[in-house]
Amino acid sequence: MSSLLGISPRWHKVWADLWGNKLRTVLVVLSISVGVFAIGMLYSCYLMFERDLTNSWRSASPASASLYADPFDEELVDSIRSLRGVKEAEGRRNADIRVKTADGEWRQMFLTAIPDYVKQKVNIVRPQTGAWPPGDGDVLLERSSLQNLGIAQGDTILVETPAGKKREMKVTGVVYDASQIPSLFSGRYYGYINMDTLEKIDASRQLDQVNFVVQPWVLQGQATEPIDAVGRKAWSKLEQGNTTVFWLQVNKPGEHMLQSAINALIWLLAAMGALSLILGTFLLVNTVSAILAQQVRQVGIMKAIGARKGQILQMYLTLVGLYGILALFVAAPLGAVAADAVTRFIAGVFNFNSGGLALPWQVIALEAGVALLVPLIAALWPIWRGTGVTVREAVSDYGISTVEASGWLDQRVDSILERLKKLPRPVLLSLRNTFRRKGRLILTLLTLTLAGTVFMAVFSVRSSLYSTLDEAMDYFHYDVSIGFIQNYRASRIEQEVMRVSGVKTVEAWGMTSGRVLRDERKESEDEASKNVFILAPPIQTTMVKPRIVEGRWLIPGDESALVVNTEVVKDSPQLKVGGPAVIKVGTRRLVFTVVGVVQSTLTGPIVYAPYDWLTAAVQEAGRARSVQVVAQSADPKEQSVLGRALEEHMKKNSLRVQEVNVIWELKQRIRAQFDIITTFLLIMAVLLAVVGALGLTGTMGINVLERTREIGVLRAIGASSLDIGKIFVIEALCIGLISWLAGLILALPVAAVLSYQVGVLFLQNPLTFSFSFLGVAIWLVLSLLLSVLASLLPAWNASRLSVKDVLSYE
Amino acid sequence: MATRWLSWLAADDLPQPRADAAAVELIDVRKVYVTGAGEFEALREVNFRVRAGEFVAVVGKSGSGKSTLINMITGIDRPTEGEVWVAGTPIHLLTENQIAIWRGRTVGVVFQFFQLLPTLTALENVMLPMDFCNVNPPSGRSQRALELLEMVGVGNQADKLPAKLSGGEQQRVAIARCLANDPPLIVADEPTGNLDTQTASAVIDLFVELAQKGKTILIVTHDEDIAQRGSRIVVVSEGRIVSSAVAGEAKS
Repeated sequence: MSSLLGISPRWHKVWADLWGNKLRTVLVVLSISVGVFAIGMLYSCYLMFERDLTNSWRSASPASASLYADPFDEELVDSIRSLRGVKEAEGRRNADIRVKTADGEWRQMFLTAIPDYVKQKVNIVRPQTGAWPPGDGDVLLERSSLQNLGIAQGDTILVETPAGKKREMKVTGVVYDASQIPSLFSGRYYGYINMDTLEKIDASRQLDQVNFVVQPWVLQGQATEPIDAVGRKAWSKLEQGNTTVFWLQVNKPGEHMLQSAINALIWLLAAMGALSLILGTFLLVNTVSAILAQQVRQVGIMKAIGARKGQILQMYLTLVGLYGILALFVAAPLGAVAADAVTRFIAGVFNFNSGGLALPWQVIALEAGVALLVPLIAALWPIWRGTGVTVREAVSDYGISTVEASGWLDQRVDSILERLKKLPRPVLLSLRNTFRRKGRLILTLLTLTLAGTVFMAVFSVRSSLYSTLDEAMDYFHYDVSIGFIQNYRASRIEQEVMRVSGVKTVEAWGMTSGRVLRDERKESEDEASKNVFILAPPIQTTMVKPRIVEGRWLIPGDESALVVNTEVVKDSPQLKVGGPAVIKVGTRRLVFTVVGVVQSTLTGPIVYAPYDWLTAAVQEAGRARSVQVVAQSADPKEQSVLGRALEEHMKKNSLRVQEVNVIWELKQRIRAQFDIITTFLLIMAVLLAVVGALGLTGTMGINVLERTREIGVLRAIGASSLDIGKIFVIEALCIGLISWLAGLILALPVAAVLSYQVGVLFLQNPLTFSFSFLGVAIWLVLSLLLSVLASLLPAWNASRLSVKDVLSYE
Repeated sequence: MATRWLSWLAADDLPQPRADAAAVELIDVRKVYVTGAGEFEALREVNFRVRAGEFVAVVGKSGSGKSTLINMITGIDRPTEGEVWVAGTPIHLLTENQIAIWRGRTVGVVFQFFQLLPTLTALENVMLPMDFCNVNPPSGRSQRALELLEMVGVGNQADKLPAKLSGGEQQRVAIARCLANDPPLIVADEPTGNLDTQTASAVIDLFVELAQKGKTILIVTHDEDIAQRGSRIVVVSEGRIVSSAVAGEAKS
């Protein structure tokens, strides 16, 4: 046939090696493919994200910064627009309302009124389907809110205005607002109305937000400081117009607000992809070594009939190259399809437009490079060594391979086995066989161990994320939190809350926001910190469990005392225990003495001040804007019911509720966000497990082939098919168990490092480490299961061999 | 670049052979193996000469050193001391690669266990040495291989894989393969050891025929009847050549 096709016999041998042993070829191709697939998919995803995120973000003409303030008139927007350094500015009006979801729950909705939908220049909201712009009394929903709300275009939604009045609004269209954090992450829904509809929700036609874009010359790369400086000028401008500014939000120039989270995810996945490539390479080295070991006599014969080492080297390198090409054909399309699916999924989750599948040449080049070069480089040494065999060594090496039992490992194994004399002989044979080919065993163990380590570490990352969340939630020791539109008398709020059945304890807290100044001087406002939350619980609160880093917590008798968390210190390092702290709240400058620093846990920058002192300082003595409630029941469902009951009760008693948060629901929502990270990590861990399983299958297959004559001898002395099958299954189980144990030992430090990195990458803080024994148990079951599965086919093949078959085996 | 690399792989010029040389000449050859049990002297000061066109049978008991002797001549093994000259080439001085090239063109080797490549057909097995040593134009290799197979009587099995052939047929293919590059010397180590008497006799007939055509034949055997078919019998015992005589005399 070869002569007909014009292929010379040696290349026909290469082809026969490739095609003739399909199981082996499939194993090798798959082991290369996994790494190529992972690397290709991730690089492709990265390029698509970069393209799509940038396009989506740029098409929205994002604001450099936004200011949130008390209502003001359009003239103030004009004055900001005329500021030096400001290129464009636009005002908007927002309203926090409550909306009834399809399943009857009341949720928070952020309604935005845009003065002119057609002439938007900053943070552009674009129509997707339905009406444009919104008609009077109608609302357009942001697309990321639509699904979670369970409401479709054309439906009518019931909303509750800040004044507590219920209104019906028709959803006439869907829009895309790239500048908003998607509903999944923010936990709020977004609606868009025209200025006339503001009246319907009891709001004035004034503006309360101004978005501005700075002039290009202001920008210094991706630094936010120059924008911040312009933002402070705009802040002053608004204040000069007698408007209280609450918040200045500065965006990193040219970067989607979730870009860093997505990049962190990509880098983490890239690390896992590289690991699967490395493990796949180990597997390849193992298989190529085994092919050479199995064909040692063929190499010898070829040399005996005139082949040079270089020629044989070429043949085996070509074989590996062909494996690589096949792997490229398998992995490249799969990688493209997976990249497209992942990009679409991520685009959905992070709410940006996916531009569809693109296969740039860089991806193909990387995949081709990885598929061809990595296997060739990895296989070079085993091929070099294998083809170095002399004719004499090759032709004299036949029959049952010998066991070298000279090393310390063999002696150790022997001494252990000596103690296990009561075990049946076939089991002892399996155990001894496990350690026969140490090089192969080490690579197989390395593959399985690393796969297991990462698998268990990923579970620990998940558990650490949850622990961090639990800790953050435990920090605030209450079950329901209610925020009000305005301040009410604290005693009245507490009284009303206690009337609702199921309430155990209640605390009314003062709550506001401000910015930390360097000192009391007016000019220090130009260097003010980012916004900080000011919480003012009663001095003897039982609902905060602070973790003191330095100093102390608030104590009775404290007046202008202030406890800051570590996030605040990060931004305002001048704050020291015993030193002063100046915070600008509205138009007031409040001077505190820092008495303590507490650990921040997922909460952002928060300072704590004594309730009495703060409320008096802001002229709201004895009043509060929020209340914290501890439920009698620890049951989450009952706490949800209590949350609804409290909301209804407050409304009935004319207390205008802005927001009700049931802590466990909040926890669930954050868990869902964390699950996105862990799901991706788990997918990669499963990929690694697949490589591990492939490695073990390959090793067991090679072991069977190598011991074919030995199987014949066992058969000849009376071993049944079951006995022979069992020998291989037990050997695989033994490898599985050792790898699990080694993985377990490694998993602890790896999980700690991975958790730390995930925390720093995603939450800007290390996670509270928690080792997952669930992951350990799952991997134990999985590795044993994989071991049995990996050995079944080779064991079955071995058990089918007859004495005649094996004695004629070459 | 690739061409340079490939040419590096192929490079290894052979020294020019002596024109007046014997087919095989071993001078004071000693071979020592180091084993777990200590040193083992497989050949002791062997001096041995074979003329071109001779059919020499090397006989001896198991472990006497006859296979080691043959391995010295084919370059499969190297002497610890002494010189090995084959067709005028000092193969004890050649590198592994030079030996491979030299062997491919000069010696045809036949093994006891046939040693055909299992994934290639009989025809391809015969073509393989021509392929490695670049002997005959590629277009003519298939025809030559077929002719050789027909010559040894298995032309009709050309497209079969070795596993589909009987032991005798496999050994015939192995003989055809050893003739592929038309080497002057054919060395066979127990070529009939794995065959029944009738088949073994037919295989030896082939060697006799080849010797008559001018090839130098060296056969290792412990079958005395087969040894008698050669022109000379060399007896090896404990690493030494203890006798060397024409076939009829040796028997007597």
